[in-house]
Amino acid sequence: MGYLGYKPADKPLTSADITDGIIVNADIANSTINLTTKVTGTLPLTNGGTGLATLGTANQVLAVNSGASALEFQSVSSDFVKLATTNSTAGTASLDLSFSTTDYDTFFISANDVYCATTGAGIALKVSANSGSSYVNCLGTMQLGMQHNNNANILQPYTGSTGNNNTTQFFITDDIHNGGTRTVSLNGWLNNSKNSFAPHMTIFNNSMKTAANYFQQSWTSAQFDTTSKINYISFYNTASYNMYGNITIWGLKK
Amino acid sequence: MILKKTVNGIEIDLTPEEIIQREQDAIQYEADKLAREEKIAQEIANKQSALNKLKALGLNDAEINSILGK
Repeated sequence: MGYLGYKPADKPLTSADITDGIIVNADIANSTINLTTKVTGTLPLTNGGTGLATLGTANQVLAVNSGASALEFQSVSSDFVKLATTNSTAGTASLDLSFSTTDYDTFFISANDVYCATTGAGIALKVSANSGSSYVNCLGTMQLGMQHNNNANILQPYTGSTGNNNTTQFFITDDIHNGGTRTVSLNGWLNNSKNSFAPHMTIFNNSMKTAANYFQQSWTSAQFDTTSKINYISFYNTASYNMYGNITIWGLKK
Repeated sequence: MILKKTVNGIEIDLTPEEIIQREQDAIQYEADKLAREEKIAQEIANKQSALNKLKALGLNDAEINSILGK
């Protein structure tokens, strides 16, 4: 602003000198607003924000709330939940899984590259309804597995039935080593059925590398003599030697 | 003798009772295995006996395979 005569004394411009509401967007230079220090409050959803000013906890995801009215951090939920896993590369007498049945009646079990330390030993399964304190007898009428053919020294599907064997051993396969050339991988289901006439069945699809370039598969299934929920399974070497491999169980929510 | 089991990835010593049970399981397994092998051997013998009797009746291999669904 121009002046006549003496120059007026300089006076710092203060907020009080500016009428409220007269500064418009065009008065502000582009690319100058520091969003770290020059803003406050929480940017609402309607303005492209989240409406949130705090972070969730580890591994949570941002999602719409149950009322479909706002965003919120939520823990990831799934009806297919990993419950337990066990493995041994150094060798163990058995690979066991202890798991909760609170939210589940159906379980998926996967075993990978299971084998025994010595030729001649097989793999069998036991199940328990009291966390391994005791084991449940099989009422299996379709206990099929991989049978060792002594004449050809190969594993082949056993097509017979062991019937109602009334033992705790659920047969999976005979000799699963043969000098280190054999391994078994299996995927199967365990059902803690509520039907007392058909309780607690398990079915496995067994895939076996039976020699360097040979591959075979078989089905094994069993029914277990208990009305209590099975909460523990044990894959073990039938000859009390070491075994190796990895076994995991998942639960499907009711 | 192995004295440990692995539960949910944790090695646990077998109790004396568990060791005894495992020894009994091994015996049971061998008995079951022998029973399976004997059953298969008996089925093979029965099949061969049946084939021999069919041939003795005058059926040739093609006729036998036909009734066997081969």
